[in-house]
Amino acid sequence: MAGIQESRRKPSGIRNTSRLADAGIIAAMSLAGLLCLLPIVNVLALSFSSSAAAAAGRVKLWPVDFSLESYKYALTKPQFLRSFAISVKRVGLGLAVNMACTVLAAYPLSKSSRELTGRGVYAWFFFFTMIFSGGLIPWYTVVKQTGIMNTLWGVILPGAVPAYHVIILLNFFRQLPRELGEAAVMDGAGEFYMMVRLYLPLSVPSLATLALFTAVGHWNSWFDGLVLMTSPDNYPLQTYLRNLIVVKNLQTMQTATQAELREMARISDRTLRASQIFIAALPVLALYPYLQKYFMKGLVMGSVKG
Amino acid sequence: MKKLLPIVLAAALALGAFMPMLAEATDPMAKYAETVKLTTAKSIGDSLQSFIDKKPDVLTDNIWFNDYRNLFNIDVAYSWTAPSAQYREKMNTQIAANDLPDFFQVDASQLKMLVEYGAAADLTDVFAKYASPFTNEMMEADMRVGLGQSTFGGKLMALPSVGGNRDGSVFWWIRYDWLEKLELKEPETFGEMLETLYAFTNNDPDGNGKDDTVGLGMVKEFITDTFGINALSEGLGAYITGWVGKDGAVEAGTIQPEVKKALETLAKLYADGVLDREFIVKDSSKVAEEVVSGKIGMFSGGHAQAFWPLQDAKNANLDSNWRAISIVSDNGEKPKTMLDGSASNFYAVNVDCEDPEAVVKLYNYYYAKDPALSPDFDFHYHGRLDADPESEITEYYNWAAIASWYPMQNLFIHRGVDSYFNDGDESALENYWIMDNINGNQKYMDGDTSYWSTFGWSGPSDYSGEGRIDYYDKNGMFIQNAYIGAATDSMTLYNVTLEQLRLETFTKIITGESSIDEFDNYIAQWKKLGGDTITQEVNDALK
Repeated sequence: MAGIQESRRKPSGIRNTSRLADAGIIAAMSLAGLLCLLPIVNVLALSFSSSAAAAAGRVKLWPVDFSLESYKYALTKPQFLRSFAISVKRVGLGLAVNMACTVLAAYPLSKSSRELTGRGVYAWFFFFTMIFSGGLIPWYTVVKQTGIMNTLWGVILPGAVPAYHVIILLNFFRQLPRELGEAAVMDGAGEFYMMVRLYLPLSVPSLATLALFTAVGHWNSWFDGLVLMTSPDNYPLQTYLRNLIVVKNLQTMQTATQAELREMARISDRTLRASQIFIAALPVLALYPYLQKYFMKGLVMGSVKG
Repeated sequence: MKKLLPIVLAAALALGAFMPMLAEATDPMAKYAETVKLTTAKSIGDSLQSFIDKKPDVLTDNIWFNDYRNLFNIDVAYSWTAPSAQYREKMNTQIAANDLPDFFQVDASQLKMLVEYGAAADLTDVFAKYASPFTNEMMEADMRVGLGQSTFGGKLMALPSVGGNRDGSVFWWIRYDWLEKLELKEPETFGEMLETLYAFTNNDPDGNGKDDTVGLGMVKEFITDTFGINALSEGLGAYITGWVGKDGAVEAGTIQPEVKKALETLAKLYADGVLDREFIVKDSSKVAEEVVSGKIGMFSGGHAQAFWPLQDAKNANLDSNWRAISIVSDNGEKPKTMLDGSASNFYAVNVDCEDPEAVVKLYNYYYAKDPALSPDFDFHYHGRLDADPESEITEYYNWAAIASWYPMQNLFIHRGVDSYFNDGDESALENYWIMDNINGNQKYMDGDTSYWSTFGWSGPSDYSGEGRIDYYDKNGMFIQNAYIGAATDSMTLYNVTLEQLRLETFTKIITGESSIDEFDNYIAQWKKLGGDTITQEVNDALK
């Protein structure tokens, strides 16, 4: 950080770039930003259009034949609502478990090996899991054998300690002035008191960033839901949504029965799909602006040793 | 007397021991004395899910499951269920983790995997002993194709979920209203078909004064029936994905000279803008979109397209009139469409399952109750025609733990509908399935266009999807793929590479990037990269 500020203070008379180049760069970046926005606007426009207009591909960036039908249908669809509720529960529970574990692991590891005997071993223990994971089958077997299949714990507990987050946070703790801790010890504070009353309040930017990562991660993950849940009733939202966007299999279509074909005709509704995708993206979209101010700070401060 | 007694006793004993076996052999549907518990998995479609929302325990408390319990003393439970779109993926993980229920539905490649792992039970004897006469009759109607697909090394490793291979027929879907508008007649030769395609492109068939239509729509992965090149190529006798008999042996269709001719034609159509010039970036939903919006005049497809995307096309434009017409040949001979296997799904039984014969009983029971031809048919097992699908539960057949169909079912429905409307055959109404479709067709004819899909599917003419298949059937326009067995070892090894090579070469030829001579080079490459080995294996397997 200090380095960056110094470079800012250099005399501004020496400019290597022209204003024209600046304008070019800004224009190019804005264009790239807009390009990222386009698909979202398109989905939004689709969700507010009539299904005939959507099926004919007439909807681009503005709704055609404005209609709220698809939202009405999505918001009364029991499975959609159920999956939404499960995802909300998952994020709440997952956030609590992940953050508690991250903090409890990062704090001791941020101490020097003088203060924590065997710190190197512990750190490697965590680091090891970032390079080598058990893989799909052992993961599945562990969850099954521990009896948490088909429960929310099954998707939360195996990833309860996110090693990457632990490392970010412990680096953040480390660059807090050592003297603060020493002063607290002089005043008689224990380790736990110090962690809760001193380190955590000072780490809000970092914690907020990690919380955002965790929440978005839980909200967006779908594969574990598919593998660990034994009934669609227990699917988190993204697992449910994935049904809607799977591309039709042209090879098996001809051997489908009449009933299956009828079903296919029913679910070809693109507006309904768009509205559900948009509702699902809404919480994350709403969360970002509030946490963004911590985002840059938290990420950079944790990763660069001061 | 003293001498006789032991003999009589022995005979009685022997008879006594023999009797139950005899009884069992003659009655494959006997009830178990003790409850047999079976576990399975289920793929849940959208409408089934909507019933579960209305009645959460419907999966195990329904007309089928209650009969399983009461008539056979078989208690079936679901280990897991997954939405139909994700069932395959979920099953793959379950197979990898070797955490499988007693019996379960798999596709052909999964079945092969199970057989290789030794995870599937050998059903040869059980099926021979327990399959009911009517089940056997259905297998015969299928020409035992489904059973053949489930057989590995002479052993029956699964029960096929028979769908019927005639439904794999490919034909053209065409904008008949455009044809009439441009005062063209229905194309009957390859030359006429090309003329039609050019006219659809150049003569402004939608009459909007803009040059915004193409004759032929196609997807980027175009070696398929639906939105692919198969209607065109099979008309020329080119069976790109199949196996053809030649000089007493079997050869891969993809390297035959007919394919070269098809590619040459397509390259010409592409150069003239008659084949959509942007096809290399379009997936099926994009092509469907253009069909719906009235940009495309003809496409290759099958009976399913009546439901998707043509119902949407009707909704979007009431004037559009899509019809199914036959593929056409260039040499005056009758064109033939290639038929593959009749099953795309199979019921495998876990090798650890203690009562594999119970699974065969469930299989028998579906055939006993669902096909309207069965002597024991009862429409209550199929569903209610008068039910409102939005608020009431119907489609009961979805609940059965095992389902396999009368292989000619769709054709049978069409024939019934046809005889009702064209010959006034009232007796057709007595059949549950046919009545259902007669009602749908009647509603369309009375002006309810939301029933177009039923009309376009089973409607009483040669121009509906099943009507076209019926026409093929009556005119001998089928050719059976010479090899429909599971993928051989070298297919598993080389097919990915070979298919990649095929798609790349064909795309380059069609778009003019390579000349048509590249095809000869392709044949040499194909043979070298594993094609010869595969051909050898296929011929060995057929001996």
